[in-house]
Amino acid sequence: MTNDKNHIKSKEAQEALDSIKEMERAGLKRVLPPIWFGATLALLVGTLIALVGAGIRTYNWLIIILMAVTIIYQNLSAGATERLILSTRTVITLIICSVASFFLLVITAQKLKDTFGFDWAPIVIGALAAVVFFIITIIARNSYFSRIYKQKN
Amino acid sequence: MKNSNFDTIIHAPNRLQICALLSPLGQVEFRVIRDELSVSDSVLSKHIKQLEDVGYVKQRKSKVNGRERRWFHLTNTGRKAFELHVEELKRIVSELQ
Repeated sequence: MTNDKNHIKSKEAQEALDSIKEMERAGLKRVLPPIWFGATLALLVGTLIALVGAGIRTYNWLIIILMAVTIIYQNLSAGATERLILSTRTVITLIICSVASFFLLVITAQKLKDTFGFDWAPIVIGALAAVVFFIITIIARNSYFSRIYKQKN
Repeated sequence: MKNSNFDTIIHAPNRLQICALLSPLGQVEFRVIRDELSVSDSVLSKHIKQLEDVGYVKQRKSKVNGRERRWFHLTNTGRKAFELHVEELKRIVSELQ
């Protein structure tokens, strides 16, 4: 199909473009975060907030290690990592917002428990944080689906 | 008709697929590329070596349970060359239709 190194036909170019789309779709499918991954991380984040909020600090290190193991296991089993398309400024802003939200939730849970005597507050806030985190992972998953669908068209 | 951004290194079917697989991702492990392309280790190594030689792809080695794993990613030069190549292919298709 190729006339010479610098001359190719339209049909060959179209076949190459189709092949590119197919591989890009395969690549995106590889890094599609599974539901168990989002659920596990959400559970661990919620547990960490509930424990710190309740003033129990004995198992914090274990939860942080479990989070790291979950992320590493997911990356290794997928055999691929996603490409960060956000700017450095956006990433820094997201990290600052996440850390601020974490401490805000922990402090709120501690205040409600210690000042107002609501012993259930850390558990409820931890559960709410877990649900919100899980919803965020579902949104991320859906954005991957739409990227894969976009590659199809 | 001279295709100015047409890249003969990238255009070979297997290398085109390697670049296409790497383009939307950060890093991809050797076994994943091999499985997606359905080629042998030696064939894949040969094509990756060609892409590495022109600076389009870089590799990182890591050890998991004592076994070496090789991860690959497109360099900025490789990404740019791939994008230009895709644009060129699109231009060829649109011009000749």
